[in-house]
Amino acid sequence: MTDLATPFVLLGQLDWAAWLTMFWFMILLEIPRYTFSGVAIFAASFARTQPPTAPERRQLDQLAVSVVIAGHNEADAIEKCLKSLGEQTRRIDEIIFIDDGSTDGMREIINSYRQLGRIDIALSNQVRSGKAASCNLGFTVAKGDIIINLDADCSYDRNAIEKLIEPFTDPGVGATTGALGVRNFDHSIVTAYQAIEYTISIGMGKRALDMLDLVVCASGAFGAFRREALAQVGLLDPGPGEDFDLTMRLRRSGWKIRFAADSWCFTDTPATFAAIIRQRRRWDRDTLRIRMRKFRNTLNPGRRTFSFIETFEQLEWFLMTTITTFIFPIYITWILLIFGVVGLYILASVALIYIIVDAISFLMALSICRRYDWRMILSIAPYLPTFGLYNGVFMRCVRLYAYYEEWVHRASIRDSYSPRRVSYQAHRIR
Amino acid sequence: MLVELKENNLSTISRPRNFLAYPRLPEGYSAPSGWRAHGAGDRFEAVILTATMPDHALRLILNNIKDPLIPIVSFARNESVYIDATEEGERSAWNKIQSICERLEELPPAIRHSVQSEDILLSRMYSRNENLNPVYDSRSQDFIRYPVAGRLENISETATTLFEKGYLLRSFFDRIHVCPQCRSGHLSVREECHACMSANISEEIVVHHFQCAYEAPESRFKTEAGLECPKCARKLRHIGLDYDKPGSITHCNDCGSINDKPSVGFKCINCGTHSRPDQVPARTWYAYNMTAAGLRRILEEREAPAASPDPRSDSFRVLLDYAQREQREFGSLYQLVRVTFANRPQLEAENARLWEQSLLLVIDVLQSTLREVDAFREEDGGFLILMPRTDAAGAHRTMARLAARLEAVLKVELGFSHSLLQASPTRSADERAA
Repeated sequence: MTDLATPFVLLGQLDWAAWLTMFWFMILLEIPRYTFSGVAIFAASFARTQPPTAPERRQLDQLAVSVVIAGHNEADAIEKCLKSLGEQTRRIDEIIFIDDGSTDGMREIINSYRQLGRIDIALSNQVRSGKAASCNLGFTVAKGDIIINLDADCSYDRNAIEKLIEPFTDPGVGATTGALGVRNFDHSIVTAYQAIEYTISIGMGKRALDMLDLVVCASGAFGAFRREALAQVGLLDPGPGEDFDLTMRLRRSGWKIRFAADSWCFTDTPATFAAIIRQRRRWDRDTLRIRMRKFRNTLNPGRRTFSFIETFEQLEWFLMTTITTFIFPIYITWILLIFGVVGLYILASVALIYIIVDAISFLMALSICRRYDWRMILSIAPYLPTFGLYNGVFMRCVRLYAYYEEWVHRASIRDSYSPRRVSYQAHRIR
Repeated sequence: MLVELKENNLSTISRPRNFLAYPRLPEGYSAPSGWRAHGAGDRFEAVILTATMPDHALRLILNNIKDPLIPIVSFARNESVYIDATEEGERSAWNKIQSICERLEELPPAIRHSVQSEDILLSRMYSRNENLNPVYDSRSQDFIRYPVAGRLENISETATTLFEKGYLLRSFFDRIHVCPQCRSGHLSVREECHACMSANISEEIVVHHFQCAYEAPESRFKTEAGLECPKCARKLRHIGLDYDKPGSITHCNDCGSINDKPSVGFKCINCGTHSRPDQVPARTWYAYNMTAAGLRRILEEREAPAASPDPRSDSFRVLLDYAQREQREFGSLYQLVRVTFANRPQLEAENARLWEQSLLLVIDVLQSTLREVDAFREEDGGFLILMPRTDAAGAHRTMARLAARLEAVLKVELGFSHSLLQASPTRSADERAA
C-alpha cells in the first residue's frame, strides 16, 4: 500500500519548478498537443453540424460517383465489401475493381460479379504492379466527378458514401477522408489497443486536424477525390505511402482536405504484435520518407509556393512526433541517471497521469463520436489502464526503430508492399 | 448408251420396272435391261434426275410422287438432300436403284406402304442398307442431317421413340447448342461487349510506367515519337526498366465501355436472337443402328418384344412387374407415385441450362431421399416413382420429405407436386410404366 501511494506523496511534495524539471517531457510535448486540442474538440462537438441545404443537396445529387477498389489476393473479402456498397444510401454510379496480379482467383471472381451486374468494370493486371499503379488504372477509366478509393477488406456504414462526399459542396475541397473503426476489436489484446487508439485519434485527433485544416492523409482505404484535383496533381505516385503522398500534393496545390467525421468505415486491424509492428514500421518509414525527403522544402520559407499552414503542419509533426520520439529514450535515461530509484517513482507518476489523460480522452472521444455500442466499449475498456504503455512506450519504440530504418537504410523503398521490380525502378535503386 | 448392271443384279430382275426420268432422258439413251421409262399412268419405282435441279422443283416432284421410300438418283450434279446417289456415275446410280428396289420388295406391303414415320424411317434404313448416321450440314436448320432419312421430318424424335422401343441402338455423335428462340443450330459464338452486346470490340494492352506509377491503356502513351508517359512526360524507352505491360483491357468501340475480358454471347444466324451462354440449351445428337428387333419389326410386320436398351427404364419395368406379382401373391402393397413440376415449362423457357442443372440436382435428391429398393424414372416432364412394400401414408411422408429437401437444395422454385397412382388397377399402372 505504501509503495503504491508513494508516487502521489511524491507529487504532492513538489513545487512547480520541481514539476517542470521532472515532467518537462510530458508538460511541454504531450499535454499541449492532446489536452488542449481535446478540450477544443469536445467544446466544438456540442455545436450542431449543419446538414447540406437543398441547393447543396441537389448539387451533391448531380455528382457522379465512381468507386475504385484495387486489391491483391482479396478474393475472400469482395463479397462482404460489395454487400456493404450495395446497402449505400447514396447512388454509386460505377464500381471498378482491379485485381492486381492475384493468385487466389480474384480475377475470376470479379469477372463473375461483373457478369452479375454487381461490378461495372473489372480489370486485371496479370502481373502484379502495386497498389498505386492499379488504383491509377482504375482512376484513369473512372468516369465519375468524385472518385472514391476503397479497400476490398473494409465494410461501410449505410450512409458512409453519402457523408463522405458532403464536403464536396465546397468547390475548394479536393479530397475527403472518413472515420475508420476497428471491426475485430475483440480478437486480441492488440486489436483492443488499436480500437482504443482509433477511437481517440478519429474521435479527437482527426477532428482537431480538420478544424485547423491540417488533415494530411485521405486514406487509400477510405478516401474520396475530386476528379479535377486528381488530374491536376497527376494521380498516385509509386508507393508505399501513396495516399499520404497524394494528399500532400493536393494540399500543396491549394486543395482543401476534409475529414468527414460521420462517414464510417470498419476494417480488420493486425491481430498480433508482430503484425502491428510490421504495419507501423511501414507507416512510419513512409511518413518520414515523404515528409523529410520528398517534401522537405516545406520547411524552406524561401520556396516559391510557400504556405504558412503547410510549413506549420510540417513543423508541428516534426516537433510533436519526430522530436518527441527521439527525445523519449533520452528522457527516460536522464530521469533514471539523475534520480536513480526515485526516477522509477517519477516514471510511475507519469504513467498514472497518462492513465488519467487516456481515460478522459477516451470518454471524450466516445461522447463525440457516438458511434460505438456498449458491447464494444465494455470489451476494450479493460485495456485502457495499460493503453499508455502501448501507445506511449511500445509504439514510440517501434517508431524510433522505423525512423532508424528509414534514415539510415532507406528501407521504405525496399518494402514488399510494391513488387520489387517496380520499387527498384520507381525509386531508382541501383 | 447402254448401262450394264452387275450380273447378280441382272439375274434377280424378274419383271420390268418403270422409272421416271426428269426432265428427260438423253437422245438414244438405253436403260439397263429390266428397266424402262414409264409411260403415262404407269406406276414407277425409281426417279432419275438427268439435269441439275433446284431444291424447290425437286420438292414439287416428290410431293406428287408421295412415296417416301422410292429411290432417287441423279446423273447430273445435284446437291439436294433427298437424293440417294449423285455424280457417282451412271452404272453406280443404276446399281443403287436396283439394290434399293430389291430390298424394298422384301418388305411386307403393310410396312412398304405404311405412313407411320417410325415404319418409314426403319424402311429407309433397311432399303438403303445404311445406319442412321448424322452428318454436319450447314443447309439444315439443325446443323445436323441424317442423309438416309431423306425428306422425313422430326427424325430425332422418331429415332428416339424407336430407340426406346428397342428397335434402334444409339451412340453419341455431338452436342450442338441451339437458339432458345427458334431451335436453330446456326449460332455465331462471339466475343462481345458485356454492356451493349456489340461485337465491335478491340483489345488494348495496358502500360505501367514504373517511375510515376501511371498505368493506363497503351493508346494514352502513344505519341509520334513512340511511348511517352502522359503523367510525367518521360519517354518510355526500355520495357522491364522503364515500363511493363501487366495486362490488357477490352474496349467497346460502340458504347465505350471498358473491361478486363469480353463476354461470350450467342447470336442466332437464323432469327437474329441474342443469347447469353447460360440461356442457350444444347441438343444431343446420336447415330443409330438397327437392332435385330427392328429388323424383325419391318420384315415380319409385327411388334417384336424388344429388350429395352435403357437399363434404368428396363430395371424400372422389371421392378414394377415384381411389385405387382408380390401384391398378387402376398398382398404386399406398393405405391406408384407421379411427381410433377408445374414450373418446368417456364423455367425451361427462361434458362434451359439452369433447368438441366436443376434436373440433375433433382435426381441426386431423389437418390438420396428414396430407399435402395425404390426406383424412379423420368416421365412426362416429371418422375414416376415405384415404392415397393409401402402404404399410401408412407408414400406421402416420403414425398413430403422429398419436397422439403428439394426446397433446401434447389435455388429455383419447381412447383413440386405428387399424386399416387392407384396401385390396385395393376394393368393401368403397368401401362403407364410401359
